[in-house]
Amino acid sequence: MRVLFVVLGMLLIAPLVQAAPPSVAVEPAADLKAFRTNFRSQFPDLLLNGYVNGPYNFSKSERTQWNQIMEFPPYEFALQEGKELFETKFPDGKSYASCFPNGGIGIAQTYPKFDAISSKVATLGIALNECRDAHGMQPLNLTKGPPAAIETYMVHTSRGKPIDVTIPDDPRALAAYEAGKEYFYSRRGQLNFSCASCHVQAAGKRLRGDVLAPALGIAAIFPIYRSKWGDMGTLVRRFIGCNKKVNAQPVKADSARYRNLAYFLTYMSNGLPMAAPGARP
Amino acid sequence: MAYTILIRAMASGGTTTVETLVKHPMDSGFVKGKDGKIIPGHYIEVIEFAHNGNIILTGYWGPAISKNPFSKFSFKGGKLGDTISVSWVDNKGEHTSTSAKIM
Amino acid sequence: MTRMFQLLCGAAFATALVLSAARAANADAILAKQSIAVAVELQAHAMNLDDGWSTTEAALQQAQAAYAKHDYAMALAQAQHAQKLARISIAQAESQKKFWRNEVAN
Repeated sequence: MRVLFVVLGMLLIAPLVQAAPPSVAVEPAADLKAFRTNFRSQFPDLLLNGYVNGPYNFSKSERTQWNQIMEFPPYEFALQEGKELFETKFPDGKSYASCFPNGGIGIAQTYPKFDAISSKVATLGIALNECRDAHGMQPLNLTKGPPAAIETYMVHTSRGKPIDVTIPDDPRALAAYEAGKEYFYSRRGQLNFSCASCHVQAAGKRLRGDVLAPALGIAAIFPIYRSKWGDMGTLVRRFIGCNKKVNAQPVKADSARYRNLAYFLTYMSNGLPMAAPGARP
Repeated sequence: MAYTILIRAMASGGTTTVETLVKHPMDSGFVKGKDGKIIPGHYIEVIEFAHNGNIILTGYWGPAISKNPFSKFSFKGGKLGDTISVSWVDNKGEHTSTSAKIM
Repeated sequence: MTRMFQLLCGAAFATALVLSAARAANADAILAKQSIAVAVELQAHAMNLDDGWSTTEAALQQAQAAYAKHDYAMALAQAQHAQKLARISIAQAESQKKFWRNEVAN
């Protein structure tokens, strides 16, 4: 009985403790500047473009091992598989190229995009699934496997191009960006860490046996071949993994939380050159 | 399953360096899958590298080698245009081979 | 006569024992089920606040697995553990909701 009252009480209080709407205007461009300044003042000797190499800027031994593994990039097989899958025609004769500008070549640096029609953020993986849906096919996994291989190929065609995520002057897009930003800075999980706890406050430092990559540039290298996975993985796969690491229960791969987080995080790397697909420990 | 082998051979100063990335699951036979059952062992047993048809390196691999193995070795000799070939056979009797010219 | 009477008493006593044991087991099952239901509700609330814990989820699954195996004592214990974790996670989320800040700007 007492339990019932406690639960009812919590459910009643719940609406009151939702995040208050921001009292200041949402200004992505100002956020981006502050983000960069924060890291550059912390690491004055690190060139801006060097941030895409994440942990390798902070550990000689990791960089040496990376150079060794890159003699034959571990994502090579996924790259070949992805190219074949990308060029395979759908049952109705069309292919992925028909869903994207420029046939899907050299456009990955503009994702995630805000889709004004669905009012949602679309990552490259989601765009691929929407393409499949438009041609009567089932959606695929957003974290690994064949879709990760297709993304691997598509981002490879954008290598070197500056990341160019647009946040239109649309209140819905700005709200999605702000939601992603709030997620990034909010603590969660039994270990009570936020993304910023590791990737802003402890950037460049060690976490157990790993070196933490700064959040600046971290989105420029996905999908990655992660030696720990022995496999390719998308940004969403890593979000889920990071959730588990702080003992937070992950949500579905296509959930708005991860989309908005990807929107914020990739925008924070705007201007940096695409260095995807990447290889990480 | 498509068994790709990526190979690159470069000659410099009388020595040739050969690098290969071999696609293979290299399941040891000791690992359990998500269903709790052992994933059967499936690994390369013998791999041979040849230069212009002469075997120069034989590797007796097995369950201790990890997935998609990368190997690199050098040998004295070899010049631009020579053929380096590699072939392997695994414990299930499957086999693949490929070759490339020295660059 | 006394023999019959003794037998009848014994049978009545045995039946009473079995019936009360069954009712106790039934009561255990109901308690465990209620406990699990509360834990599920709390975890759903925690997930809504964006701070559901994987350890809460694990305890919940253990509780449900134990219940399916009729191990009501274990089911109850795990459900109560899940409730405890869920409550802490809700308190954590509620206390911090207002406190997130842009770490690089402030």
